Amino acid sequence: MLQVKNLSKNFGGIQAVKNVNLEVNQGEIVGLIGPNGAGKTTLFNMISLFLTSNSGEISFLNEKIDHYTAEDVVSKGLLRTFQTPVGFPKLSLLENLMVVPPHDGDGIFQAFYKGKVIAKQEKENYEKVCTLLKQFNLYEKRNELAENLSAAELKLLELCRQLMANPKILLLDEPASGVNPLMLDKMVDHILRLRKEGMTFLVIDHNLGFIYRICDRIYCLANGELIASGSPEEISNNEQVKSVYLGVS
Amino acid sequence: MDILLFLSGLIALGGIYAMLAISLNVNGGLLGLWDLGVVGYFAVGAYAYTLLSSHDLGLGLPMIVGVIGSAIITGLFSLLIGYTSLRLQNEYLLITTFAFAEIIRIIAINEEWLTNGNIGIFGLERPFENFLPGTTYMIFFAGLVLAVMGIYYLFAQKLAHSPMGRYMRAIRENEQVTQSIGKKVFATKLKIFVLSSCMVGIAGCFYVWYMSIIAPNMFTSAITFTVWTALVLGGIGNNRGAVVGAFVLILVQEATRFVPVPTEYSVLLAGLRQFVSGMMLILVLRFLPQGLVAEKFKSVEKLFYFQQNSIITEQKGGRRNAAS
Repeated sequence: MLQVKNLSKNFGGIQAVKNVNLEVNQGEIVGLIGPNGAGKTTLFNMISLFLTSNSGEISFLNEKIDHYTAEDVVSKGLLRTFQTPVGFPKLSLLENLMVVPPHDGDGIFQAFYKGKVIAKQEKENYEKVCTLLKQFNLYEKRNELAENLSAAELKLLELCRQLMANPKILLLDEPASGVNPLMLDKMVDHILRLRKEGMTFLVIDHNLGFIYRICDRIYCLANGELIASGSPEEISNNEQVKSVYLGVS
Repeated sequence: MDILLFLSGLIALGGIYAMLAISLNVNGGLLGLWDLGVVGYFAVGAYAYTLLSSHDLGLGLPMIVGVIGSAIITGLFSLLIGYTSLRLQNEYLLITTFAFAEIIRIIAINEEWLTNGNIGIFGLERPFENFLPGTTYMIFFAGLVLAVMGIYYLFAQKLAHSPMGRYMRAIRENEQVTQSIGKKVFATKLKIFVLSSCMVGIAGCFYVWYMSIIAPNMFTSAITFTVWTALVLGGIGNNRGAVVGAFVLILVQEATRFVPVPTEYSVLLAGLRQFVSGMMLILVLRFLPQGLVAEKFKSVEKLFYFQQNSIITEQKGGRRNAAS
């Protein structure tokens, strides 16, 4: 589904990502681990086209997407979350999600002559949003401003927001960061449920317990280069990974 | 009658500034663009109208053509500015739009063949002036300004409470996240930027009618800062705040004319206006940071009456929050 070939990025003299090859197949949950500054988020930014690469290519659903914009690739079904989920703080949870679906009302003058069409679409989107919020136990807070949510709830909200865009693959950037164990279990349940429903994930995280629980395969990045890949068991026994990532020789 | 004339003038001027503040609120309040070019579009609109409709130095076209033309010409100018500047970060947009406004003023001063330079263009006609004498005309004009201001307000309110308004606020809150959900952020910003400047351009026509003259020194950056002050004072992000802020600011500024001081202190009194405006801004930012009228939007459920019609019902007596 997603193929990354020899992708590289440098910022001046700093090689942030060097010749990374990565593949994610449909229905998989693939992990991406590595120490701080390894280039994981830079890689995510390049895959989601928020950053242009210096060399290499990215293919999604057998189509090269290097020339697309970040907005265009969303319509293909490739979405991502952010390391620090801020979202839209002064919008309510309902508004945070209802802003996502394409809308006949997304125009300056449409509200003045497409009132009925817009009202119908708003109702459909509202019901979809409420169903999603109920699944993630956020329904009771639907009229709260997003800035009033806890860090963990913001992560869930961000997940909901990206799900509203009907992704085929979701790039999750540190979804377990700052999340308490109880919420983490719920996050795991949601991700596994979504995988059963056909979604594909590429997940960055430092919480190896979380990664091992959900991932089918894991890639390990260090100093911008791929140093290991394999199943969770293979990665946990890999000496190079232990040395670079865990500091154990 | 003098009082009536003064009050009519005050209301007309307040209304013009309210139109500017509402236009800026669409651009800066809802969409979050830091635009210091307000007086630039104002000047372009005013001069475009004058050059299209003035019988002396212009084309002598009907007034309505002048108004429509001023909106179009202002829109074209802002399209050029927006296309080149809106990809910049906010601080650079501030500088670019401020520079644009200053360039317009300098062109108006120096291109005497076009604008008559610093001397300006006098004796400009006003709509329906021949039918209404003296003070009656000023009362009519104040009413006309209020009517158009009302149209601006209703338009901006409809926009703010529509899905487009929600989308604009999302861009304001976080552009990157808005991009990540597939929205064409740059195209939207450009459309709203042009719309807002067209609205300011039309307000320029009313300013020309109010003053009956047009000259470059009418379009200094003080106007931009006055409009921003009005918007922050009233409450940035909401149209009611824009109107309230504009009228409060103009009222306070004009009220200082009645402060009795000896002649030798008249220059100080002129400075007092700016002092009072500045103090008001400081006090509001300190004690009412959201402005005199805080931004508040009805929840989606209340806007579209989903509680009654949807399959999901809300328990009665729920806790109120800022979004409801």
